[in-house]
Amino acid sequence: MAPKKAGPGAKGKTPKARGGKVASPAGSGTVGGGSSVGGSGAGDLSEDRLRSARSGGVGWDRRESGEGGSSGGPSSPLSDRDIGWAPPEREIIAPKEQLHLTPDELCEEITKTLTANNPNAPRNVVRYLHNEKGYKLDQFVDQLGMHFAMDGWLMNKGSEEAKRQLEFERIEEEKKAIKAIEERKKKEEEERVKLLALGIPTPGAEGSEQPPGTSASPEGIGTSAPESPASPSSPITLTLSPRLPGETEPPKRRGSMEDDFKTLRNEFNFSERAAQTVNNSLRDRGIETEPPHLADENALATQWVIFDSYMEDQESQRAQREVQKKRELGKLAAAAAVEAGVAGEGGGGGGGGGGSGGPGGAAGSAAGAAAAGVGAAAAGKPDEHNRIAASPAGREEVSSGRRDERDSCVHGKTMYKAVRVVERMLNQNTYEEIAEDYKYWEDASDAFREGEGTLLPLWKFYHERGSRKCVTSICWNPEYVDLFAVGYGSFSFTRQTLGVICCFTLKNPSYPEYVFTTDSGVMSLDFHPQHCSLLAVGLYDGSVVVYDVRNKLNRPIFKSTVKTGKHTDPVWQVRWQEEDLTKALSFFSVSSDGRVSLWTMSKSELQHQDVMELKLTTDWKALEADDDATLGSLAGGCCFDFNRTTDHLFIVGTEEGTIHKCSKAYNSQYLETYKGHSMAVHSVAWNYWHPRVFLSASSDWTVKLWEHTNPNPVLSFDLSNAVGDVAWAPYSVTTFAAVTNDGKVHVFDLAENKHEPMCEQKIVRKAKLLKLAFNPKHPILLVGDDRGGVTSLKLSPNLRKNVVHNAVQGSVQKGIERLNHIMEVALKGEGPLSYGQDGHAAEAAAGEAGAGRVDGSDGVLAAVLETHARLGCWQGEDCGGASEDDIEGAEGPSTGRHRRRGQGLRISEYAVRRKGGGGCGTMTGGAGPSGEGTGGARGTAGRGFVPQSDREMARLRRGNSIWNFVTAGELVGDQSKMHGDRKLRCNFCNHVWQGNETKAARHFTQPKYCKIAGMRVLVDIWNNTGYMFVDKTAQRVQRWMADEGIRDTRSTTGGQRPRADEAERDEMQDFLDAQEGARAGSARQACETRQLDAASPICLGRR
Amino acid sequence: MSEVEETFKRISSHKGVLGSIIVNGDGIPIRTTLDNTTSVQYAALMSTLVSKARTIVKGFNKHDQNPATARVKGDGASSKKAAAAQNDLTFLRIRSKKHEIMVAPDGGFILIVIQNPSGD
Repeated sequence: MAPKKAGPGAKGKTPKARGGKVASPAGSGTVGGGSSVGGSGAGDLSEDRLRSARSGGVGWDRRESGEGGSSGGPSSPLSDRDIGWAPPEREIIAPKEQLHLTPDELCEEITKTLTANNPNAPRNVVRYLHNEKGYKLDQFVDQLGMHFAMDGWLMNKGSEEAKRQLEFERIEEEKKAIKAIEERKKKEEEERVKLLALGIPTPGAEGSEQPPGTSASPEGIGTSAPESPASPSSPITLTLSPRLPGETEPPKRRGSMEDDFKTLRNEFNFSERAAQTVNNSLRDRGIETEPPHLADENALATQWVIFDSYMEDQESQRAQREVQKKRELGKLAAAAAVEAGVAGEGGGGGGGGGGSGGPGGAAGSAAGAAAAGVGAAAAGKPDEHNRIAASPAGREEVSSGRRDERDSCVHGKTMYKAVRVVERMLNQNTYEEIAEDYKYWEDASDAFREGEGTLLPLWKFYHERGSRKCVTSICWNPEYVDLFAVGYGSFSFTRQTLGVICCFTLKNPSYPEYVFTTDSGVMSLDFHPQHCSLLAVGLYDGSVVVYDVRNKLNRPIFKSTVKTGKHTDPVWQVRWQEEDLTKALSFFSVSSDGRVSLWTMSKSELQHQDVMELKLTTDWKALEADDDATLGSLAGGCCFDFNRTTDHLFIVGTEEGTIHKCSKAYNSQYLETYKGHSMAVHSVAWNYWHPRVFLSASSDWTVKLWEHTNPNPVLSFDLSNAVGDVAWAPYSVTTFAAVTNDGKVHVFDLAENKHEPMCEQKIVRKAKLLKLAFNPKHPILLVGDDRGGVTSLKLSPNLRKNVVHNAVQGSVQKGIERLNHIMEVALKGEGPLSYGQDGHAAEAAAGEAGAGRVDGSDGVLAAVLETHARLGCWQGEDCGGASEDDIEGAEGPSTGRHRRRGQGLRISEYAVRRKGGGGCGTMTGGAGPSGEGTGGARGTAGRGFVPQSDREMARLRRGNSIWNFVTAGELVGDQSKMHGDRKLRCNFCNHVWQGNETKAARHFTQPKYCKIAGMRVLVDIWNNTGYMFVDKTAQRVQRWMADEGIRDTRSTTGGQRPRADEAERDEMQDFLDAQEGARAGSARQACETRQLDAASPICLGRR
Repeated sequence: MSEVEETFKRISSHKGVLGSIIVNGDGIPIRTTLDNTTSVQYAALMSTLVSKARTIVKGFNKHDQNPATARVKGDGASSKKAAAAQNDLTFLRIRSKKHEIMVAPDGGFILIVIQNPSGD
């Protein structure tokens, strides 16, 4: 193809010449362009050119022909010669349309700028748009205008073009060679012709005909090529043969080889002209991204850490080893068991085989084998069974182990501790201000107020379980001075609930540390002074229990039962004893059943020992007259306290208002009896430091200070409301505090003021304050109210003035002397009752003051407590010695004295219209021989008992067997619609009360049953009447009957009669109560409200 | 309900407590009163803090100079003694302007309580 393209016109030209030809049209093109542009006033062509253009294209041609000459062809040498050289003529030829400009205008400089716009480009190209169905102006026109373009001379050797060029070159060479050959042939021909002409013959005459053809046509080259090898005569053709066009490969190879030898500088269009532009300066361009997330990962390994991990690893390895060992042991045991089983079965099989072996050996052995097989199978089965049986157990074990592990982590001890600590912290944060006050606040105003102090309320302790219950006792822990126990219960008999003990700490006011519940209301508490986790508790039902607060179990470690001689009345106070030599732990309790008991904790149970029976102090002469009167009549103990120096000495306050000094050594009689209170003594307390002084608080609105060798009170403080509790401050000899029912706390410091309290502050708005306790270390006072709230109070500096301490030399002695002095002055100068009211003195002088409060005022409805059975007995005894003056003098009913007792026993209150102006206030008073003997003379109406005739009694007995045990007396008053208007007298204990048959029966069936009537009486009532027995009595009767073999008529099946469950019983009781209440009518209500008023000693305080 | 559970509930309902979390040894909250994200965040951050604090406390332990000397021959009693001799972190209390974070790292678990001490 290449030869064909080159064409004949290119014949005889060198490749360079061809390159020149390529360049020359471009050159002429520019000129042409220049002229065309020049039409529009472009004068960028030089003047020479313009001139030469004027002189005609000939001159131009002449100049050009020197380098080109291609188009000029053969004529160019001629023109050179024709024209010769002529001096240039200057003539300006302007085109017609050119503007005629003046020389000035011509000289004017016109700034020309190059714009990217092509001025010649059409601006109105319109195209048809199919989508819009219309012609639109095309905005985009080609703005490219070529002013100058020049291609380089050089080309890439490997490119197609170069190949073609090389090919062409080769062909040219070949042609030259052929030409040379032809010329040589021609010469030879000529010579041959010459020779021929000379007559010499030549070889190869045929070949001479061909040359013209080959020279004429281009095909000749192609044809000549295959021909050339055929002409061996020519050496050149031979040398050329490898370059023949038929073979495409060799030239290529040669070309590539040539590439290796001389590589070109630039493989691409390389322009010799310096067309380099200014290089743009390099510019850094960066984008700031958000920095990747960084995380610090570091750990500090101290020696301890390493050590710990080593220890842990060791531990775990050891545990693993142990587990493995255990597993192996188990495996061994299992294997042994399996083996044993198989062996046994195999033996059996073998035996069978042997047995059958006699007749036919083969058959026998077969049978034996079969038997063995069965045996093995059988052996295998149980084994499998075992495994199956074992596997769930194992799994369970594993799972339980896992659970344990988890539990131990989440619910473990450490977690528990952590949780508790956190809780305390929360509280610390929540009550931060209070805590600050507790720690740092001191009432600054105290400095300006001599003899006055304040109480700052701090935290209030309250637990929902204790809501609507009374705080019956508070006790600080001796070891942990921030811990205290609060007992919740109820003083009301009718509203008895479960008891609750809450151990609070000052560090966590929101929730108690420990909570225990008891079956019966809690009445008293005491922490053991040494074993501070032991908590003795006295309950309403008379039992005493001991808790170990560490256990956190809602179960006491010891509990007294009927068998171990529990009290039959509420236990008002318990107090631990110091450990004795035998190391046995023991505590005392006092109850209104008249006993002071010592409880010793043995291994399994509480052993009880009555230390004291609180006999009523009545007229001793009367006692001598009839011993029976003293039977079953004990004073109800309310409180006691042990002397701090003489440890056998203790004082007991009673419901009657008397205080007895007793000794553990003598349990038969009182060492001393202090009469001064006219109502129940709720609290007695020995001074912490002074060995002879104690305080007592009573419902008769007074607190009295006693010196134990003096039967009369030294000082008396009227607090104008019933006093619930009194306590000495542990830090001072002369300071004590008392709480009253109107919600006030009174703090006295005798050294400062023995007439007035240092502080009298109302703490609770509506509730009654019942108990208080001083913290043994901090100036904190706790007071408990009847709504379950406990308030902590901080004593201001004035209340902590006369502080004594063992550590301070002589301070204790000084304090004691001060107190002695105060007492001396009181006794000498102002008399013992200077601070009490006159009424009190009168009563005290009257002796048995207790009687005064049972009776009503003259001529009006008197509310009288008729307590049931036993209480009646006491009252009878109690009133026996009372003077009628007292009775009459009382200005109204007082139920307060019986606040506790009344709540403690099932009572029925009703009003009795007084018969005469005399003192017939009570139906219960003056019963029995003693009553008749002493009181009969004065209050005949109230105290006499006229039995019914035998005939009448016989009639009654026929109707109801209860009359076998109770004698009916005369009718009294007009109360028949209530409880019966008949006087009744117990045939056994001579107790006299008023009522009907039911009432009579209740004398035996109630918990406060007649002590003298034996079991046979109860059994008789049980079997012959339908009266309800209280649960415990019923059980007792049933048990006794079972023991004695007496038939139980109430039992339908011969066994025990199914008991009504508790709720049902309660319902029944409620029903009965309601019945009674309905009958009691308005009088009872009046009475009740008074009773709820709790100890309003109107009769005493306001005479 | 165990005592821990009970106390935990009490804490959670305590005045001013914004949330309480129990985190196990792997830093995963296993009981929480907060939403998931917050609990996870607290758990993760507190675990780190606790481990660091523990390291510090142990590192400052000057009571027994060198654990190598406290190293024992492997019997339980003396190892216990060694354990007793060394110090450990028991509590962490972080007071911020708004909150107080209480951290009890005990027994492999971490108890975290966040309280707003001033408010309710």
